[in-house]
Amino acid sequence: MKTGRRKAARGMLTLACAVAAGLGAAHAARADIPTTQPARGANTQPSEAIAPKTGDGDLTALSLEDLMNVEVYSASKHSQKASETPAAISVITQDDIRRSNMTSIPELLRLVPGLDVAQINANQWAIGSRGFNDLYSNKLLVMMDGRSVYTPLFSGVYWDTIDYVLPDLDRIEVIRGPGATLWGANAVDGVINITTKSARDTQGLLVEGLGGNQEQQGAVRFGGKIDDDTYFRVYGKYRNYDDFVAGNGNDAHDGWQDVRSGFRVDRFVGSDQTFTFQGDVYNERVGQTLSYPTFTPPYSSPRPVENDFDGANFLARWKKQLTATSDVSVQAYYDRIDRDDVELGYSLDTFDLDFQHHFQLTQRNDLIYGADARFLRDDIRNSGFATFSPTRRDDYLLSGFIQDDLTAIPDRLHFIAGTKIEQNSYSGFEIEPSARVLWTPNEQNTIWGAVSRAVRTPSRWEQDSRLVFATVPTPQGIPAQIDTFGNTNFNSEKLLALESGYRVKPTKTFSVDATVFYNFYNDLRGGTDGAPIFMPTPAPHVLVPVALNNGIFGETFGAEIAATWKVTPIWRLTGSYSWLDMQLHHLTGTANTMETIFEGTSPRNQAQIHSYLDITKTVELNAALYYVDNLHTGHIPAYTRFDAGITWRPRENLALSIAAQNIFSSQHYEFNSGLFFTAPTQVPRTYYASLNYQF
Amino acid sequence: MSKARSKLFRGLLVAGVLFLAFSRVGMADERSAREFQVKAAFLFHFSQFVEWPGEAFPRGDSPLVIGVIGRGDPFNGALERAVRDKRVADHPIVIAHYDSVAAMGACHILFICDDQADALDAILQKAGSGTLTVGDLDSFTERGGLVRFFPEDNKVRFEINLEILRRSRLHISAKLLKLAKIVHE
Repeated sequence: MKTGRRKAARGMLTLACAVAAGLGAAHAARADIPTTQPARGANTQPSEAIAPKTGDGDLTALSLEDLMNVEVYSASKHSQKASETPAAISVITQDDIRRSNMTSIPELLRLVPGLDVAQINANQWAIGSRGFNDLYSNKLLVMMDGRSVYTPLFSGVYWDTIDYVLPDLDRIEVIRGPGATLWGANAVDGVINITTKSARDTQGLLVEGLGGNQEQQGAVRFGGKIDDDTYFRVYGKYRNYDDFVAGNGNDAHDGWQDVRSGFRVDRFVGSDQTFTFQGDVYNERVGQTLSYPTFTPPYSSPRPVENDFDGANFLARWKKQLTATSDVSVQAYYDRIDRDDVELGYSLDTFDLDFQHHFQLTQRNDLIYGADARFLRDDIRNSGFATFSPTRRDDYLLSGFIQDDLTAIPDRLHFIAGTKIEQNSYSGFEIEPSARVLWTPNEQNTIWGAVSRAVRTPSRWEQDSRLVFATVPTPQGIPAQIDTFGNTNFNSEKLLALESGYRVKPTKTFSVDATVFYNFYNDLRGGTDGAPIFMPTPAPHVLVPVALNNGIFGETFGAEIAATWKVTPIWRLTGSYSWLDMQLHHLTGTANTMETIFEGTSPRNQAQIHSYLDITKTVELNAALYYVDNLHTGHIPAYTRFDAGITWRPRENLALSIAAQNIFSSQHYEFNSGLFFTAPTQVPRTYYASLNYQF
Repeated sequence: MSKARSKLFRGLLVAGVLFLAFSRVGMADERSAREFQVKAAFLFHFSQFVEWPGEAFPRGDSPLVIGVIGRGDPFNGALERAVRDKRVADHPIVIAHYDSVAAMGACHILFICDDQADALDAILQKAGSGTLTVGDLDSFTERGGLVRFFPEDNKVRFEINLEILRRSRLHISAKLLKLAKIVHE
């Protein structure tokens, strides 16, 4: 039990440490800060003695008119503006991040229309897109700076491990719907791309501290230059989350601490090449309450445990502009996670090498293609409740993709088609094609349509495991233990998606983005109830084996609509509404258990509205209202959430904020699928004060 | 997994957090190198098509100053290369970099980097009505800037705030106005 005073003291201590560290560094750094630099042009030799290889040579030789026609490509897969992308894309910018009053990346995803974000307990989230939400929501691919953070153990993302110094995030791009053609398997219902800022954009010292009734955070980041073309940053961050509220009103045992540190180096060579090196390391201590199946009523016993989760990654990337219309990039990374759960030990090493080339095949054909090779090695420590065989597994993934953007009518009509082909050690060969059309009849309107195929590769759980799922009473008096059994024939889940969208910007201050989709799923995970077997030990019970199979199929359909309205120059409103309907069925022989669970874990309706108001030049008022419909699975009632915050900037580099979240309700549940061991707890009302200081 | 490895991670982290190198401070904007090469060429052209009041050049060969205010150089030297050995009616062109409003000197053209968003009002005030202020921020012309670069169709375009132009002491050639998007804010 933590008293309010202890929480406040810890918050103050965190803030004090952060500020002290910052002041110490600044004092030493100040000696090196130069005063006004004299005109550098006179005595700085250009870093390249040769003319740029673009072939255009000296751009100043071009006339103004010609200059206005020079195309400026970026080397990423997204060289288009979001509004010109034939997909349901949302971008959370750094400005959105700053004004959202959210303090973690999973929470920031609530801003995306149609994305399903539910906090299960203090350290776990269920985040999904267009249905099938769960703790390990398996149809969503998540990447951080090009590094996949999707774990093949249960086909999901450990959201507690995804964090960064939030002001150093560049943007979070979310594509709802299949992104498999470009991003590969598991990008079935969505792709989330989190990118951090270049080291060049994060120079100087940043100190951030946050303290409140529920969480305390402190972060320090220092950015500097190694030479004129090489920039770096290093950061350290600490978070402490207090317990949420259990069903009986007491503190649940789910609080946790997280320490992490990392760096990024960006080197610019000439005007056409960049090298990036980055890495992070983290350590978490997470409290969890596991529901252990037992043979006596009430058939589950809650056991509080402390788990240690660690991870580290290192990434290197090279990008080069080859000519005015082509670029190439190569990336390699290593990632390690180590989850020392009490009832399951799991570690995973990932090595990945990725190549991509983008060029104009003809004047009307913009081609991008690439290849990726990934090697994964895991190591599992079994327990009485979770047994994986083999305990060590080496897996590989080889893939290639190609996509062409055909300009049928310049500036008006584009056809985009492409495919990804993969060979992986879970499900063999997969092919994921997609075709899209983008029509912009005029500057204000954009219409797009797409047909795509995507797959979700099997997880270790579905192929190699035996898990004790639950114990339940039976009319016969002795309890039944339900075990799920994976099998190596478990196949990948398949999706055929039809999507369409319309974007309109009737005035400079108002815009609307709407999407509809119809998804056909096949080979979804289901289970077959086997014949019960009587087991005399350790206590007489009946074992009900459930063999996991691909016996569920069906359709989902829905719509998402989002709007932005700049009411006055100082007041902006954004809002969205999304609707989802799921119709699932099962093959004969497959139980309808999973089907019913799946249909009930995503809300039918969701809506949100945000207000961003600049009260004065130095004071901002940001508020948001969210509505999430009820969930049948777990009997979670609908809830409304109101967040508000005020930020004051007395100086250009200092921001002070106070904010509160869930102002309307003292506590509420958000999710309970029953499919995994950890207990859901109630999300409480939270409030905090924060400080952000940049030197 | 083991406690020893956990300790190693913690050790690495403490080292990481305590490691603060001391170096010069620089900051700039991240966009593709090509985009800023094009913008540098635009700034050079602007110097040819804008007329400044007489007192902006005390002597016939006083330099024309293009300033860049921001923590770093988003042009990465492209601006220096664009104006090397060039003149505007006998005035040599020099580039000056400022990392804050306090350090700002008098310029004929001032490019304001995105990281100066919070200081924009102070910068525009100090720049005065004899400086061609140029920037990238979405709200640049709404907040009193003269010229804003924006992307369109993968190309660099610019818009000019006619209201601010009228109130300034600058004269922009019709040739440049013709190619610009005009905003009346």
